[in-house]
Amino acid sequence: MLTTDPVALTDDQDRACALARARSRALLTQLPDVLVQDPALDCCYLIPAAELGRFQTGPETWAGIDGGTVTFVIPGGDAIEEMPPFRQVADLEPSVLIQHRAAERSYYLDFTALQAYRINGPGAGLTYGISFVIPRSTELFEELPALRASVLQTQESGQGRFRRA
Amino acid sequence: MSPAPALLNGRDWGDAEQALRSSSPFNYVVLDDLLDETAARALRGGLIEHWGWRQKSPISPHLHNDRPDLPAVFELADDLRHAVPGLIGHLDLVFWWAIMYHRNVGGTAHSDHGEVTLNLWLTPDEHNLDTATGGLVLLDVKRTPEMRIHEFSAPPLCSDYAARHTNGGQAVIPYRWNRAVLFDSTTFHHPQPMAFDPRSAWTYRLGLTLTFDHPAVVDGRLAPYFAADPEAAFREAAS
Repeated sequence: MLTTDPVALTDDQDRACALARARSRALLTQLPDVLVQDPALDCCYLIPAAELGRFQTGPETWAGIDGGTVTFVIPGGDAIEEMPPFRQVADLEPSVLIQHRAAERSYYLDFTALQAYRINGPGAGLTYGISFVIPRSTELFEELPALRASVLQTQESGQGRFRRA
Repeated sequence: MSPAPALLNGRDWGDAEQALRSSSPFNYVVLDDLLDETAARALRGGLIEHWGWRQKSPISPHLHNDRPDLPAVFELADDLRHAVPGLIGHLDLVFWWAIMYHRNVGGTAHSDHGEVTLNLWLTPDEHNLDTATGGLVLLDVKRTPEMRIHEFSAPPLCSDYAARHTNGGQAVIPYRWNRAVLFDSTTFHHPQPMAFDPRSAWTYRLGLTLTFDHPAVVDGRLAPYFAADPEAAFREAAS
């Protein structure tokens, strides 16, 4: 659904944003190398794009998603992801679900699978296409304005997770 | 018997519309065997294999698929708009989502963001291990026009509201494969407790929901949440 922009932009700013969005969309139609940082474990995982295909989701994936799973969205298309990453249960081993919207595919790596790509430390100096940070819990969600968070937390209705760029 | 649109089985849609309008305070109609059997199985398969499943929010226990872009969903919406033009012919499909209850945990009472809701169940009956459960409960509570989205659909506000305003009336619609419930979106509702075979995505309770409304009305409800100062935007909208 179309919604109002939070801040009124000048025409020049609006054009600059549109150009940036277009460039971003063009870049991210290709699956990038993904860096996932885990500050709690003082490590990161560098997953080459060429290897992500091994972890493409299917019906067998869905049983594994649990409170330790963190969903990351590689932006693409004309929708903006509104939900910041969260981990429902902080003391479960993290797993990651990476959604690549432009390609309409997703990839799931459980904690065991992630270990093949583990690098100690935060990954300074590494080359990658996009990076994400595993939250300790729901801290990023809690930083949202209360009203914004509440609409994202609606019971079942789909409203609010995406809005058009 | 009205002629069946492409995806829908034939039925007297005039009766269906009348049933929804006359079943106050719940305002619903049960549509058994909504879809052609082949179409229902294809839609089920397309949803289960879809890439878009994820946890919706920090508190949601099930898997959610927001606006899966399956042609059958849009075909279903179009067919419905033609089947019951008096109810939804003038409305757009505004939201649609699928839910996979992979932990057999339902949800709390809420109402949907729309004017009319269709809730369609897409798991074969043999996977429902307790046929007394798994359905939908409609409550004798409706949201009011001035309620904000989070007040009628975000727990605990929505469930608290329903608890405060109910007189105890309920309509319980038992679970059944390819059964749909078409109802007034403002009616508070919640899934029954459920006990589906927990083995895999092919056995979990799977539901698809479509809501229809005027896009301008929906945008108007959403706009304050995206304002720089949401509280001020709500105050302005109310004045």
